[in-house]
Amino acid sequence: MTVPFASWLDDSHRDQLKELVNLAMGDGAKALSAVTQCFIQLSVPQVNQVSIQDLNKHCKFVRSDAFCCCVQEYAALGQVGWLFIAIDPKSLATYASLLDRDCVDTEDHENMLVQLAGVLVPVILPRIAKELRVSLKLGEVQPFVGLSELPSVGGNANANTNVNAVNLAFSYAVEAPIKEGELQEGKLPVLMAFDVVMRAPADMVKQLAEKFASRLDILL
Amino acid sequence: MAIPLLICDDSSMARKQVAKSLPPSWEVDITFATNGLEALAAINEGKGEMMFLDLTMPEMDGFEVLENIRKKDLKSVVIVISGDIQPQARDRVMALGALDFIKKPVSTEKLTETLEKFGLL
Repeated sequence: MTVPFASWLDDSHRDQLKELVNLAMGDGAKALSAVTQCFIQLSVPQVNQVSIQDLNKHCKFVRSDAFCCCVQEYAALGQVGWLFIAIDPKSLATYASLLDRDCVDTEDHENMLVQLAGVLVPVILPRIAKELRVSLKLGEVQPFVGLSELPSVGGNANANTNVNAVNLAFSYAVEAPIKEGELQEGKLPVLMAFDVVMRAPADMVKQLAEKFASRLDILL
Repeated sequence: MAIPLLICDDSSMARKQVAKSLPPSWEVDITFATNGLEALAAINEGKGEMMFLDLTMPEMDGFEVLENIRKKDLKSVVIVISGDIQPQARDRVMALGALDFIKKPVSTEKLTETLEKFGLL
């Protein structure tokens, strides 16, 4: 039986994921602010479901001046892992890196978003370098062929794994001053917007949300 | 007499988590707010003598709440509980009058330690 897509996540799951992304973004912002010496203004994360069929459409709707980053489970061509891809719609430059699944503890799914926060840093750096007119050393960022050629977007990649997948779009924007301290001087900050699409098996996403909530209970 | 305590966070899970983390012996009368505007309204109604405040929220964020408390000279002791762990965020909230900053997720131990440090327990 096919489970209606909209029913895979309820409001509670969405709230839990938003909070989890909020923490991951905080970690990412700390790393970014250390590199740029700028205060990063975080916005409230949005968690939305998009179907695999709508993924390309969703990416097309990304603002023309916004960076788009997709995070997807990669299961094809004998490789399994997480694929991170960023696209600059203006220049059509793409950046991608593969993270081996061994890096992600499937028994501890919050690692997935911790990894997400970590990987966002090299994804975001090129844009920051451009906007702030500074030179930043990039990590392992490699050229990539393009979103439409992603194996898992076409719908065939998971044929051998039979994975039901959820696509979650995390949209957020960050603002940074051109130089440290300029926020106080009333100068307009640089706006950087990101749409993050995460693709993960439906059960894993729900487990992720529930595990995160129960982990907080353990802390009490 | 129970202290009017306000917990302000846009996440339902986060609000519950803070409430569950309160020291069991602490006598408080809890009110919840989901954004800064609700928090200011609650403080005006006398429900926020003490407040645990998130920073990243819709409508009005935690920084703006602190600015409003200062500008309007409202009586509320604020401890920020946030995932925004940039040093600048901490410096900014402290400069705006927050009593302390606690990194999310908060635990009973950390909350108790903080409250004891300021003689609030």
